Amino acid sequence: MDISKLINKKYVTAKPFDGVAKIRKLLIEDTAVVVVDDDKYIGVLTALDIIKNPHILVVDCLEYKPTVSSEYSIYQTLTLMDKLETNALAVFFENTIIGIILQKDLLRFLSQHEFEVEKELLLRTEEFEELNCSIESIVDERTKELNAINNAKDKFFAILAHDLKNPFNIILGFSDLLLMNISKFDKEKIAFQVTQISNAANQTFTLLENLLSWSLSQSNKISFDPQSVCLDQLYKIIDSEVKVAVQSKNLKINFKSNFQGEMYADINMLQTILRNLISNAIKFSYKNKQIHVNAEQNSTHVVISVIDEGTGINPEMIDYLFDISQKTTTHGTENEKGTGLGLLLCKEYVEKHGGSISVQSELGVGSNFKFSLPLINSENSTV
Amino acid sequence: METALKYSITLRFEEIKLPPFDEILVMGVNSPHGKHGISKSFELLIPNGFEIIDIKEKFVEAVFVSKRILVKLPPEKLLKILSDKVFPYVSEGELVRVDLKVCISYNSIEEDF
Repeated sequence: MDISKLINKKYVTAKPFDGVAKIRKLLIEDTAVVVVDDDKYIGVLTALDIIKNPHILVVDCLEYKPTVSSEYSIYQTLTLMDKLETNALAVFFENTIIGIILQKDLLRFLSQHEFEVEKELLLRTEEFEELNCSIESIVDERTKELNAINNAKDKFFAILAHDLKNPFNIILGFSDLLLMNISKFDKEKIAFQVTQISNAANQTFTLLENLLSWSLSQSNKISFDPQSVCLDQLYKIIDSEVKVAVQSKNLKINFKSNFQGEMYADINMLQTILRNLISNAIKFSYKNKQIHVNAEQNSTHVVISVIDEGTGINPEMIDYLFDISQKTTTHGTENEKGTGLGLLLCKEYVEKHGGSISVQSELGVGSNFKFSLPLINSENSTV
Repeated sequence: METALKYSITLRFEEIKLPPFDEILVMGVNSPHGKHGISKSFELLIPNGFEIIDIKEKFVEAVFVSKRILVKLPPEKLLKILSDKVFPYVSEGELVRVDLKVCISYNSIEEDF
């Protein structure tokens, strides 16, 4: 820091041929006197000067002292004063004296500054301790959260393993039975058992496919390639995928779209979202009911709803539908099993598009799963 | 009874000159009147009449010499004399007046007239 703010601009002056007796009192009060002769600077006289040079006239007591500029640092100035054994120096700007700098003012400032630094340090230490406590508390909280998530995942994997094992029991059971009795069974019985094997294999395949997608999504390894998608074509693909399940319950799916344009989405993700929501609707629908898949457009998004006339969802469960820690094996109207993994995937994929997913449901009436995806060239699109 | 008041007066006078010396003043260190002060007063009394010679002796700070002397005697010779004969007797803070007369004489002058 420089000395500019500590310069004493109101200094006392004396003439070179003034008697020292005349200014002795001034020196005791002001520490230093500037000696000028007809406005010409002669030097700075200090009490120390008149002790070292005990003369009668001011001019004889003066000792040569270099001048400093206001850009001198406090450290530089104090060092110079120490070297010259003086406690005052004249401060010059462009060959003109602008004031004097006193050792006592520099030391007072440093002592005050040191006090403030100590005060600041104390304050910072307290803040640091508070922050430390806060960080410890956050770390504890995060650790608890992570433990909870780990436990939830463990639980989820246990359910998955159980759900994966079940279809294999069916496949192994029916295939063993078929092998042992293939010559005894008639075609109808064989067809029934092969259908059971096929359903179980399809169910497992879907589950594995979801599981793989979810794990890739969790580790951010899944590719996200949004492009223009024609919804009608996608409906046709999904329709063929779920055809067997739909027929087995004698359901009817009504695809209705008030949106004729194209939307901007990753086609594989959108297919997974629709397949999972429609599969869930089938699973929880009673026989001979209808499922409605509607697409509507607002200013920025396409909103797709999958509405069933099935069992509906317990209100207490709705809040936990997209929460991995609350997953459990669920049963459809024909005892179809599922883990709820598909809904987790749907949420992940919809959010990856910058959209949102929600559900409205009433027990015994049915459910409405609704998700939004941005329109192509939408100004508000976050994709 | 009233006491009569009596005065006893001693009177003496003589002529003085300013400055109160003619040729040389030796100034001891820490004399109350410093070099600049004395020099200024000499300048006021006899402008351009004295030369100040700084001395680096233990008890001597400066010598004021009449320029008339320096015309006759080179400063080095003068200082050698003062150093040998005067400086050892000067105390701190003292001002010592030195009377020094220079007399120049020639033994024989031979010249074509």
